[in-house]
Amino acid sequence: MSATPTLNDREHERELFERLPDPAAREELVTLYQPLARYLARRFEGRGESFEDLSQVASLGLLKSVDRFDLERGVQFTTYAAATIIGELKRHFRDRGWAIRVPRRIQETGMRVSRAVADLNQELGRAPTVKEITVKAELSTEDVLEALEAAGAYNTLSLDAPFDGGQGTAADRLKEDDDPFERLEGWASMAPAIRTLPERERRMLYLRFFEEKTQSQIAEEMGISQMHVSRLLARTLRRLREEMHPDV
Amino acid sequence: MEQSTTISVPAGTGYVHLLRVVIAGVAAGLDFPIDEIDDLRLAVDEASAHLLSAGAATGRITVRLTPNAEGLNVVAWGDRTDGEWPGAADQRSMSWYVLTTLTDDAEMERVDGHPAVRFTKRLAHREV
Repeated sequence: MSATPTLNDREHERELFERLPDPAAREELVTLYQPLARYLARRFEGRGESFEDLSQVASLGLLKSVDRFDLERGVQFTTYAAATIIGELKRHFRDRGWAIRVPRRIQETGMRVSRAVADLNQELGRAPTVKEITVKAELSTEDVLEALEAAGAYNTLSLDAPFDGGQGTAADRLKEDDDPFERLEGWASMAPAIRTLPERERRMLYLRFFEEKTQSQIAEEMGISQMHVSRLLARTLRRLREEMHPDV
Repeated sequence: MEQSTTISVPAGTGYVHLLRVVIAGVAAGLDFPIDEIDDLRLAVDEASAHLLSAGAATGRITVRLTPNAEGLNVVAWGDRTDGEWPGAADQRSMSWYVLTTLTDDAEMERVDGHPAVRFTKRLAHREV
């Protein structure tokens, strides 16, 4: 955000408002306050809407505030604009209530489920059944199934999420084997698409479909949770499928 | 009494999640471990993608889930009756490869003349 405007800026701003509805003055005001709109849009990030979308909503709010601002009220434009933009952003989320409510609810059950899964994995030495999870997490079958479905369906996880444990080994192996995907019937046509995948996803595909390991085994080997493996695998397959059959 | 569940959805990617939900529910009832439930969800996804990309389903996809002594038997079929099945490229498609890896005994066949994908997921018997 820009620093506090100097007296000259204030005068200039007042002049611009007095020139309204002159399009040039309007445009200059919008440009002047665009950083404010972007700043406020940033504050609403991480709720399931892209920054681009939020930025647009905020810009709309800014336009509204420029058009409606009354110099004679004795209120600073920044104060008025911020209130209008925030109002616009809030309305945007209210209209799309599902976008924040659903994931938040599922996140809560999801956290209980993934904790239970981790505990049970350790206790049983294998992936638990849904029944075992319901007992441990004190949730209904529906809740557990919903959380598991959401784990595969929501792409909330960043591709660049930090990943530790066994780094590089898959890449080394892939290098040694010269691209194993290239040599295998059925995957050869996908090799170029697979090469564009992040290393972790390539390794996961390799372990799942070439070494035919279970998700639990992969999870253990890569030092991440089974649900995480499931999520990444589902997303990777979806991505590859989209590249192979863009219309399906 | 045959304990099968049948679900029919419009042949579009927007409806495949319904098949995932149902197969997960049925598999949970059979006490499959969750990583195998996930295999089944991916498998039904791939079976649908396979039928869609082969043009075998243009109106509806129907999936029948039948628990048996081995585990769960799944048949998914499209609504078309014309056309080559399986096509020359179908056995080498990505979805087929994924399907055969995730399940036991995957086959392409016909059900009442409709192109169909059948697979079984075995339930490993273990002491509880």
